[in-house]
Amino acid sequence: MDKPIPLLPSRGTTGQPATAAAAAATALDVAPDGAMLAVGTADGSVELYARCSGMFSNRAIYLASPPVLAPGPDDS
Amino acid sequence: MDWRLAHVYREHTKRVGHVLWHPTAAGTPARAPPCAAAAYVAASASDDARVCLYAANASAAASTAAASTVEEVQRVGCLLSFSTEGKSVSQLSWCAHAGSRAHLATAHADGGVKVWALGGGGGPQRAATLLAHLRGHSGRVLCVSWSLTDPDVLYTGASLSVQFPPLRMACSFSFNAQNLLLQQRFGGGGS
Repeated sequence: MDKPIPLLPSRGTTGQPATAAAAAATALDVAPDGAMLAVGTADGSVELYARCSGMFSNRAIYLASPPVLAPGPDDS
Repeated sequence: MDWRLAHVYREHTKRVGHVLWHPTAAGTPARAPPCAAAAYVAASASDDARVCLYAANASAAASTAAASTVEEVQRVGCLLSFSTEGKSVSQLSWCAHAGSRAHLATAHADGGVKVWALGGGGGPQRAATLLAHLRGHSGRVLCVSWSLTDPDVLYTGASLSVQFPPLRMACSFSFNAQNLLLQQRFGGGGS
């Protein structure tokens, strides 16, 4: 099972960590290209997260590749 | 895979029930909402009956130098915030059709569905104009989805029923003050 995605708070210009809201996440959406994440919370705040690495540059390749299915018992 | 908190907005006063990115991402600014110069635009809906729009630039937000600009972004505020003048907003749906630019549908707890045009320009020119207020459900509208094939069709679902055939809005998006026509089409079972 994959680990949960770590959401890392960024550091403010004063060196203080930017604290993410402690309220429960009630809504979530990922940008079509996978580079941005929006989270809505129970206290009314909205947090936008940006993916740090360029890992999603592989996303198109992944989606373009047909799934490889293991042969079933009826396949010969 | 790491994600960094880039933007925090506190425009809503109650629970945020839905957030939704505009279907066009970076690299396609021609179809982004005209009020947004940024590559990414998200909308949020809340129980406070308000809808807010946010703009972001992924490359800037994720870079080492700009990842610390949460405070700066907060000063900028969100792109647009407007009251839907109804009860809580259950869900949002962007119109992804070319030419429609920035149209957003909102589903409401009072049984209504509203279609908004998000105004262009910057500063005070940013505004949301109500294009249509669709009535037909007797219960709380929980979901709304813009047809991917027909820019005039919205699919909606309520707590008591799912409307089918779908609501068909009249004449593309030139439907200012056409609630009566919409109601007739709704009552007639669509087309």
